[in-house]
Amino acid sequence: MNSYERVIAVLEGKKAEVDQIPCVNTVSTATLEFMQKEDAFWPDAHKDPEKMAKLGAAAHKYCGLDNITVPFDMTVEAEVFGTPIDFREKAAKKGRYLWPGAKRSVAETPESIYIPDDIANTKRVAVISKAVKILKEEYGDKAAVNVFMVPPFTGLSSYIVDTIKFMMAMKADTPLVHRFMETLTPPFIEIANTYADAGVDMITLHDMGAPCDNISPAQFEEFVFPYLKQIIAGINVPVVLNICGRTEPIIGKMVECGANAIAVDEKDSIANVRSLADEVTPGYPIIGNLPPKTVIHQAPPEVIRDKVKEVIEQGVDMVAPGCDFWIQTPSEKIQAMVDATAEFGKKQK
Amino acid sequence: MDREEFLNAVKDALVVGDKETCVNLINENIDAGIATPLDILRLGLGAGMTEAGDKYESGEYFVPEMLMCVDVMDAAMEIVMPRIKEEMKKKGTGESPGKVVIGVVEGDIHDIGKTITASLLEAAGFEVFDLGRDVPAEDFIKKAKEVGADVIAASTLMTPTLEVMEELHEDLEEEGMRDKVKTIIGGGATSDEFAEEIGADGYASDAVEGVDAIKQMVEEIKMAMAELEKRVE
Repeated sequence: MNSYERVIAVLEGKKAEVDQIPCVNTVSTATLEFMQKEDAFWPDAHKDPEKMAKLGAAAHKYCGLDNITVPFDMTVEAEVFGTPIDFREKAAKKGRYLWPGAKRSVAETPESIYIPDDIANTKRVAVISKAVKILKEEYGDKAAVNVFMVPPFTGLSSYIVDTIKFMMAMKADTPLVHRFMETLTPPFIEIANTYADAGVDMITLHDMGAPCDNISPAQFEEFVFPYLKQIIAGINVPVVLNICGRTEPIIGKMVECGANAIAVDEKDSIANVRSLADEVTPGYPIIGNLPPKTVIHQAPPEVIRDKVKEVIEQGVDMVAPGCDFWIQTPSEKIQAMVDATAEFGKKQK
Repeated sequence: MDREEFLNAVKDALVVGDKETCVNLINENIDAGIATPLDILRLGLGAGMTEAGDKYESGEYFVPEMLMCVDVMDAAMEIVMPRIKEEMKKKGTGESPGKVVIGVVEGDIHDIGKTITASLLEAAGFEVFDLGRDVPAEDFIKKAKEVGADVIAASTLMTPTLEVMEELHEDLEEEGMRDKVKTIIGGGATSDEFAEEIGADGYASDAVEGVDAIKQMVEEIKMAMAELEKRVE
């Protein structure tokens, strides 16, 4: 089996057939070294499909990561829906590569959110679709191509609407929150299926605004769960639901959202996530959860190796960092994670 | 309503996030002299924020609940603060425990934790200069110089912006200000180890811890100053 076949098999619920646990990153794989090697720096790589494809493929090409992920930031959807984005050009000129962010939140009401008519060709949706096509041409049956997206709850609460206003509405004006979510859900599905049409193998929904560090399990169930469920049912390719932060109290609900796998970060132990997921769907695929900074970026390869061994023993189906690679991560550390997965992730036949 | 009942009612209204009740209570009673404005701040609003903070710590409250309390706090402060300042002017004692410049570093717009921390600090009597979010390192330093801050508090949720925190500490060193101001960092992307790595004076994993750490820092500054004065004498 190769990288592509292993990842797809796990997502399709055929993990018993996999000869080797894959090593992936479902969110940003961009690092400074990869930018240098591929001459694909931010902010250009956010907007140029060729550069985006090169930078996205680097972790697979140089370190053998089993998947490829584009884009590298969380503002794609917010930009589509009319939020002005700062691509950090100024910082990049000084050699500092910061993530793009919203210049300001502009939507006061659901009605005031800009929903473009031709969503497939709006802003970076077109760039990402093109990058997917380039990647599929080159890596089509070798590595799974993944696009990570920011679902409506995180998009609204972090970028599109003023965070404090949005979060307070969850207490003071719950119908408003639902109207916001209802407004964005259909166009969001349309964006995801634009990537599906372009040939993407999987979509990752990165709802980083929804862990229990921010909102209560009851609020997750009311404001996030039904919309994620609807979105996942509407997307035409396999989906990973990735929530970083504390998620143990909502693991069951995350599984019930109906994605093909869930991904978690290091705030929860894989052993606990494993047993909580098994309570809902025995053997449900889980992905995680090496700390991107303190372990993958900073720790020596032996520690990375021990950590990979630990998460495999505790029952992950794909080894992954808890979140985006830390941008200064040396390639040999990513290599160490991939190698350790190969060492400890062999399935006995 | 006696003093205690009134202060408790103010506190309870804040804890449940009932702005209207809290503001009305204060407006109706502040001139009757049931309690001094400073008591309303400390024993009503401050106590309420502490209780809300405890609920947040214990997992009963989450960010939306905390924000409701912060909103009540802000509205109540608008009534209470001008009177406190007036009183202090009259008495000639305007001592706040310390001055804190606070903000979310450049590259990040997640400012909920920072907003809660600023509110708790105000409730504890600190003079707070809130720079908001997406704040470049140089702006923290400029403000700290301008107001003579005791503490700079910087937060970030997103790992790529940690660099800005590093830059902040390097710049403080370059400006020769490192000994004059204490620093504390917080937010989802930070950690104790990272604070140590960049030479921050403190780290807090959440708003309540942040306020406690800042209180302690300011105490240390005062003790150091007293020590210095003794030596000079």
